[in-house]
Amino acid sequence: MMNTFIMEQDTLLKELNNIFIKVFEDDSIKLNENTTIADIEAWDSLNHIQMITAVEKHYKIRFNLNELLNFRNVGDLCRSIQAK
Amino acid sequence: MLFTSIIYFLFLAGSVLVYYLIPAKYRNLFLIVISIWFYLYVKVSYIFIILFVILINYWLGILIGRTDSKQRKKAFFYLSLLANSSVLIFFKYWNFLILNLFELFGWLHLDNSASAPFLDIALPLGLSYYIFQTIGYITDIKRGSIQAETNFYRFTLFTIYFPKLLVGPIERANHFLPQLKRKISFDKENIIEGARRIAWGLFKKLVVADRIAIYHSKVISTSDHQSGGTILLACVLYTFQVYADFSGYTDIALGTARMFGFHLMENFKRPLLAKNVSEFWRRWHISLSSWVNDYIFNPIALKYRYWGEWGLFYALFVSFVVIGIWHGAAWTYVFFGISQAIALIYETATRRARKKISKRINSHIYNSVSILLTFLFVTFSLIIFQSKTIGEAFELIHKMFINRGHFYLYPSIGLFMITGCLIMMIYDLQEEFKIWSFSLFSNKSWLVQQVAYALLLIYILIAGVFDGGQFIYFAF
Amino acid sequence: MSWINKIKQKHLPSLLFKTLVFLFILFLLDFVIGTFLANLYSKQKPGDIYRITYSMDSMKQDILIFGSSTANHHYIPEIFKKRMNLSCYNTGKDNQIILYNYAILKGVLQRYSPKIAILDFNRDEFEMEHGSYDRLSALIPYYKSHPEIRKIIELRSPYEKFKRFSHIYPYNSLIFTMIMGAIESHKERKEIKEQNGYIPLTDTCYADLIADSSYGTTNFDSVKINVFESFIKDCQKSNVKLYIVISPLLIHCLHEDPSINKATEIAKKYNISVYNFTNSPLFVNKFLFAGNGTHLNDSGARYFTNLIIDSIMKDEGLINHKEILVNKQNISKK
Repeated sequence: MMNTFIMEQDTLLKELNNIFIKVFEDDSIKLNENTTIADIEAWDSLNHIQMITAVEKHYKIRFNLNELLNFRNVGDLCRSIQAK
Repeated sequence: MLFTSIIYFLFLAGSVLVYYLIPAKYRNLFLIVISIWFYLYVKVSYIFIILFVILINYWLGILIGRTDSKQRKKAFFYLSLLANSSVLIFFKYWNFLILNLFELFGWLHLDNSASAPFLDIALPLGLSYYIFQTIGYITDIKRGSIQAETNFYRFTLFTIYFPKLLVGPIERANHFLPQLKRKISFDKENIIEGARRIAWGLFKKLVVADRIAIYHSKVISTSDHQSGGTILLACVLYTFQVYADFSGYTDIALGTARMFGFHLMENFKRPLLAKNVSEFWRRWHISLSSWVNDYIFNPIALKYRYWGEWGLFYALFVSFVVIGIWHGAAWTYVFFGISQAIALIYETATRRARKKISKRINSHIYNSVSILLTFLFVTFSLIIFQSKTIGEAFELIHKMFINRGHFYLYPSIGLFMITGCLIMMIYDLQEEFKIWSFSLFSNKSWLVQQVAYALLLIYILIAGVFDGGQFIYFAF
Repeated sequence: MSWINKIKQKHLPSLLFKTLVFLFILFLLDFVIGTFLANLYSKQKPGDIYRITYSMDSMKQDILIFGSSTANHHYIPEIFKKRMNLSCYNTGKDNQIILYNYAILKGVLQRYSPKIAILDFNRDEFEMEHGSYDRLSALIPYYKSHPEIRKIIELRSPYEKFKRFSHIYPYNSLIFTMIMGAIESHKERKEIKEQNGYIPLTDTCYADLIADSSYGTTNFDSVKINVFESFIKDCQKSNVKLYIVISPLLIHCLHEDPSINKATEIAKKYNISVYNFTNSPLFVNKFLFAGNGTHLNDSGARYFTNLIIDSIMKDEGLINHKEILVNKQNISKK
């Protein structure tokens, strides 16, 4: 069970990485658990919204407002996705 | 107490001395005492307002944290929001609202002959700053991002700490509260870095801002007789003046806090070198723009994210109108906010197109032109900001284009202003682009550094305006 | 540099040591640069700064004119010399009022007693406002050398006495003016034809001369009133014959000025003659005399100076009524 979980985390990060690259139009993005908005130049509060909607579309999920406002880094985002 | 007054420095020196002499556990209490004293020095009655705000929010913050019921959390949250907004609106916007309400009555042909209940209230010191800080604190508790502060003294200090009373920054609970929990011990780095920061602040305020202010106010008050070129120069210089004034004062605030061992938020990051207006607002008055981003823009934009770009535009519009009116109760500030919103909406809508253009042109040229255009936009926005009415602002721009006459600039004042701006901008350019490998103020040899800072103080003695300039951001 | 490190390690704590070094460097730079600036200040060619130095240190004329820009542009020393056979110097300075004038008087009385002093007084001169105190900064370079004016300079702020510990501070905001003033070839110098302190306005201004309907303020600064009284008393003590003059304005003033009334009242108490040219029909709306909206040009100043001399000479019994009329006719012919 643990192994599948970790694999999910890895694939999740890879998939998110692709989404990020597409939305932010930056090929150099390399995500990890602790990446925040400050770490990526192309990521700002404006295209953050686009990124969220792109993620929601990809996984066919909906975040609620409280979750969204409490995301501090990519790790939080991952956990929220996994919980759905 | 002005940050550039001699009495302030006597106060600071005395406070720092006592602060490090008393046992560490009494230091926060000492800071509360001197902060209250600082507040009383300006006006005694204001202390009651801030104490009221502190008491209500301390109590409600804990209640929100303690209860598990979502309903109750919301209730307490809205109660706190009501209390905070009422205080802010009452002291800041009452007359403006009454004036416009009565004008509205007039338009609707309703009876507005009754005498309007205007109030002659002055704005309590730092109101806009600490109310916003407190609203942020309560919102963070409601969202579950932080725990309510249960230590009353710590919460009091968090709100009333004097360096951030005059011009902010608007602090955040997760940034400043943890620092208040730490035990502060004497570290000479803090004293030295704090003093250096204050020196730069004094330079920007006394040598750059106050000097330009003399010229600018002269030109604007006689604008009917000034040539278009003179008016344009005065407006361009005004941009440097506001930057130097506000960031200089902020430097003194941050330097002061540093001397006591605290790191307050950076409020400026070389904003005049921004390549577009979005970037400008990430570099100018950062504590305000990030506050608006976290508590207004983000919630709205996320809520309306299914509207696509229109959701963003709406969020931007509201955010910048808030930023506008935060500055004051006047239509000029609303208009200022709207103009920023329009610029940002434009930039968001044309993002792709502009990126394409940037790839085609040499990056140095593209960046230089971007910086210049952004600077021009900021300059024109500040014309609205500095005018008493929107009409006045447009008249001034009109005069800029049609007035003929002699160019008015005495060589002496011109040299003072240009030298001051050059020193300030060269420092910023070096910090931003790292053009030279040699550095004066961060030189490896501390002796060179000492001489550099001594020369800075010397230049302040030579070129500073000591007759007391007016600080713009006080009236917030 | 190793000996510095050795001291650091052995004797003083690092912060204290660094602070002392810093202060030493600061005082050294302050002294060196301050001395250079003092030197530069004293070498100023004729101009604004030179005139103050001359007034404080050198002038020995029999008739002295005190006042602001109206004094500076309205009184011609040459004419005083010609008609009264007494040397004359005009110490009037733009934007400076009774506070400054009194300081100059004190500086002068230390050295000699002029025969006559004419104090030009302006509307609202007793107004409570801060700017005139700030402008006393023009006298700070003389703080050290002229103890008699220190009390006046200290009116600026309670910290003035401490600011003088810096050698540079007296020359604050002057450096570029001084550098230009020391350069002989500076254009403006040649354009200012200065005649014993008097600066003529040579243009004629054809702007509309609209009547002044303001009431003037009664919010008086008692310090300025006291200084005014001291000015009178010091003149009397040193046997200087004082005349107080209110210069003509080219516009009609609808209301009396409270400051002028107050000054006249005080002057009467000490038996000082006051010549008030407000609303004088000889000047109101005479646009040929207008240098700008508020000052006479050279022609106006010539006419006015002669009138003043007439009044003074009449007062002194030096001239009879007929001669005054003849002079007036001669002047208006020019």
